[in-house]
Amino acid sequence: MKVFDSTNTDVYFNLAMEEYLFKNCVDTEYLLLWKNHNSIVLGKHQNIFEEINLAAVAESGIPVARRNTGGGTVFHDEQNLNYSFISNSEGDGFANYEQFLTPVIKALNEMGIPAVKRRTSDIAIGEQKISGSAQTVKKGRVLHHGTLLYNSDLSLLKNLLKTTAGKITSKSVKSVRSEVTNIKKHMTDQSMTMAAFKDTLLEKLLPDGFEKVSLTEADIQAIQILVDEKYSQWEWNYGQSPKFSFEKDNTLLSMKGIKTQLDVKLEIIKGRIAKCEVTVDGLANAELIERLTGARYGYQEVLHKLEETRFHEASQIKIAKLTNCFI
Amino acid sequence: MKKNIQMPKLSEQMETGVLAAWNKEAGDVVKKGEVLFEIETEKVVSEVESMESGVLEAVFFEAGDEIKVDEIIAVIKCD
Repeated sequence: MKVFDSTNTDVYFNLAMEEYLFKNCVDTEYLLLWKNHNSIVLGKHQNIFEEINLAAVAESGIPVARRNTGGGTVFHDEQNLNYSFISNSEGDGFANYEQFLTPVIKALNEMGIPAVKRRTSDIAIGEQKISGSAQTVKKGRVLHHGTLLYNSDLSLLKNLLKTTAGKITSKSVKSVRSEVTNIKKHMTDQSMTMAAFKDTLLEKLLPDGFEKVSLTEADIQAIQILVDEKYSQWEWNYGQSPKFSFEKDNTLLSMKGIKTQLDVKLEIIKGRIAKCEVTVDGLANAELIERLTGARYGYQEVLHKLEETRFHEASQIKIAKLTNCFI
Repeated sequence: MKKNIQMPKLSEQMETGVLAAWNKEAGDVVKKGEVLFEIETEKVVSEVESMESGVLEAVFFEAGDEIKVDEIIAVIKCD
């Protein structure tokens, strides 16, 4: 087993590193350990617009990234340890979580943590989840990737998840919300740091020893290209969302106290507004429809397009209120 | 010659799979070994590669559809 211990905490770099090593390191088995600075990570086939609160996330400055494995949305910070196993897929090689979860649970148990397997791919203490995992299978190789909540600040996530009065219809992969807990809370040694936790886990996971390896300059350059061309790009993080429709009926009150009924129907394909129906007091509004059709969907993007129409000035409706009709 | 592409059975217990994304569209030229579509089941993403070279003539499902094992998903007109 070769072990990469990444010191980089950039979410886009780490996800690109994972893909690069998965595709290029086919000689033996690998274990990658990595941590991300505050970030939100989506499953490969999720609809970003359905999962997160676009306005709140933009304001928070927290990056959102799409990963290469399945499943739902998770929050990462530097107190969450990620591990990735890369190996040949065993037997039929599909949905085989045991092969990876069993040694992780055993290692945690040896550290005095009463961790148990829950559902197909989670690890829990009691009823509370401490780890989730997902996989991707390609040409006989498997990437199994999991999180380990050591001492994460999970309160940050609450305001960043999607809430809308509108109706979203899609066939995307949905997140399953779980009650979670931090591992550190359940440790007898409360002084153990994340670094010590990581080192101890590694010793327990691989008691027969391992070879520590590092990225070469050439690796880092190739990974950086993958970051620039894919992982940091709107086309991957937003544009890769499955198509969906959005409907919202809004009753707005102008600054002069006049009521306006604004009904919105959108169809979003590859992150852009492909079809747009807007009626104002029952009449189609050609200006709004024309301006929004083809635009990228998103809080800031829609706000800018609406500003260009001057509709909010003519109707005396605050731009933020108007934008919310579409989000 | 035409060949049907069916939902593969990727494990003993698998009965259905979700076609999570198409990497090709109807009418596209497909080379043997290229990824046609991706399946997601139990948080596992699996790429399904084409066993033939040809043209993807017809597709019967869209991304997000849950499909029974062995059901015909698409047809390839082979070279």
